[in-house]
Amino acid sequence: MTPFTRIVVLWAVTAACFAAFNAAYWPLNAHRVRTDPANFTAYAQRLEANGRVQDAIAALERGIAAFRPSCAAPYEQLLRLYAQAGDLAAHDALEPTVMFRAALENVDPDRRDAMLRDAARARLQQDKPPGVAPVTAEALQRFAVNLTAVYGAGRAILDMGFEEHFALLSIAGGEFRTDGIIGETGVACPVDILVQSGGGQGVQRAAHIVVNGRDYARRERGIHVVLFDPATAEVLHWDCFDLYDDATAAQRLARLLHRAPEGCIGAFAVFDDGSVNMTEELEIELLRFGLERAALVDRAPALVGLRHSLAAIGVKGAPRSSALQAWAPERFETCDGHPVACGVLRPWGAAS
Amino acid sequence: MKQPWTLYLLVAAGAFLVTFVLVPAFRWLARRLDVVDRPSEARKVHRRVIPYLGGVPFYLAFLGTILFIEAFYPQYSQASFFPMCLVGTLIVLMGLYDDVANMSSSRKLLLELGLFILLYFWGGFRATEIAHPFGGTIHVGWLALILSPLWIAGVVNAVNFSDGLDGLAAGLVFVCAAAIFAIGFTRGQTTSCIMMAYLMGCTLAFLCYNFHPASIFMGDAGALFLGFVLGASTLIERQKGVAVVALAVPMVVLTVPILDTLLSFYRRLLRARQGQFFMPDRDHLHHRLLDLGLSQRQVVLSLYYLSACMGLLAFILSGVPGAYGFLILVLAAMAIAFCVVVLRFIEGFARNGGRAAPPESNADVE
Repeated sequence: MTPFTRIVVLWAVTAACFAAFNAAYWPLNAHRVRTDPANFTAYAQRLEANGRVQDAIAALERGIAAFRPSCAAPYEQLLRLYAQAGDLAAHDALEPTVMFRAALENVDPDRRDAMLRDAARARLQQDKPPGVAPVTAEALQRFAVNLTAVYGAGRAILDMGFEEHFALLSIAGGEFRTDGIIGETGVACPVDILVQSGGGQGVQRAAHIVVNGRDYARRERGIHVVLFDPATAEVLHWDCFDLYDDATAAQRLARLLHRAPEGCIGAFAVFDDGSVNMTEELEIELLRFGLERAALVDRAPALVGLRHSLAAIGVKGAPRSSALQAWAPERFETCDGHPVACGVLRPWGAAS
Repeated sequence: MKQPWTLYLLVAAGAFLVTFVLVPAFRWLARRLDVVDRPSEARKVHRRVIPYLGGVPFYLAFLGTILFIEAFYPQYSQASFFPMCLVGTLIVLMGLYDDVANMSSSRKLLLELGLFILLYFWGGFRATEIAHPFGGTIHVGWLALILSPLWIAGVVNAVNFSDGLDGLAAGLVFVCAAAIFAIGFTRGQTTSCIMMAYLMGCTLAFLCYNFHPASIFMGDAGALFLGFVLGASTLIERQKGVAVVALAVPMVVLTVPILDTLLSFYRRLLRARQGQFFMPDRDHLHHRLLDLGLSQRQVVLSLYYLSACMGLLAFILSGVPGAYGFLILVLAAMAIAFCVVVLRFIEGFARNGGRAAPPESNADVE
């Protein structure tokens, strides 16, 4: 047998194996892609095409809650379906979000600024915040600048008032309470707390934990934590734990949270990444502050995914899902994510 | 972080079984097609005709692993798996050609780099950031286009060069895979752990046939493919989100084959003036240990041991902050340099019949 014949035989055997692999792989792959929860928009489209509008709405709502997409398309699809189903209340509530997402995808800076302002105003028509302390207004402005800087928004953001900043942060996935109560915990917060988190890279990154005007976080990778007493507002502990580079950080943070007194308030902000060395033990300690595994990572619920933004304010011992928790992915399909914020604001005048 | 233990066990057991069952079949095929290694060159250690094609079952086990994950554990499937399968197929075809008709090293290297550049653009196997010695990362930007394919090609050739003694390449890959698995496990890097479980399974099965005295060789098809899976897997985990590659850890794990490759590259550079850059030689680490009088089994076991020590070091390194890690790395480099000096001293001592070698006698080693 000549070398040429031997090579032909061996190549033919290999090629046949690869062809057989392809014949089995692609149908499986197509099925996986079809059933992947991240492809919820395509799934909703199929449901809509089959006339199952309510199911399509439910699928989109589930998907948006689990993936917090940074692209406008899923929100636009849901808005259209709300209109089709005649659910005007849901339609109107979602409209500012769609306007905001569409503004971020606009490439003309002037037009984008105008659209952002329109989105903020549309939101304010539905929900207007009460007056806030000047230091809180200042922090809201800084947060809004961080948020829109990801998309290269211009000076127009600086010219907006605190109400518009608040509106922009809310429609970008922010979670706020303006009555001084921390989420659904029922615990009244003695001071104004604002938390912003930006996971990811470059201008996406941010971490601020502003308590009564003082920022306890710094530009350092990891999970920033501030613990304070709910009665006296005294800060008990504040630190940053780099879960990306330091394998022991998760253990140290878990120990700190475990030792924290019951009922103490915890504020958390991820800068860059807070997931790589996340342990189950730490997740459980964070869940004890009322946080929830809200994100879907690798088809499983997770507190935080790779380079996700996560901002939260909770109370130790509170039931799960009762904390204020905002999060965003680093990226969804082709769209970059952005910093998210949450906060507890007391009506101006009650602030100390 | 919760780890899919069952998946790792199934992948390792599946790869083991497929390889264990298919190796005798390919041994038979290699004999039928006369794809065998004849001990004709001086650098070859074995004295019998040994069939090649032992590496093809690795490739088939890999395809089987990908299908298994796609069918039963779709949540762990990655978009990069198919590019890996395609490029892996081309690597195997190239290796088979080399086993039958001896492809020149320069052509092989060019083809490898071409394939890995394809993987860079299509599969997203890129290292845009590398580990900073004192913690954190350094953004390398467009340099990633050069670094990433070179890294995979480096690992591929390191494994290929170490395939000079019975059970050496497969054993070193097993040890490296075990170390990377342990590190990936503590960091919750599922994809990396799956790939390492596969590598451990198939190399362990292959060692049943390939440990001294070997009844089959993996050939270039097997060595290139194993090196490719090992090299690409070190990049695969970090491609989620932004590609951040901490190459320091896999580099320490792979110290033995990489060091051998670098020394070989250095020797080839010295020979380049005579136009012999791509000519193989008999100066690899395992050859030199054999020349010291160690048996083949002793050489292989001592290199396993050395590799396991480096794997343990890498495991420790992965758990400490950057600056301390750098310190450990420096100490390890010093220890390796000391070992090289001792080895050369022993070589000189042995050459001079028990008398210490004069310093200038080392000049003619190459």
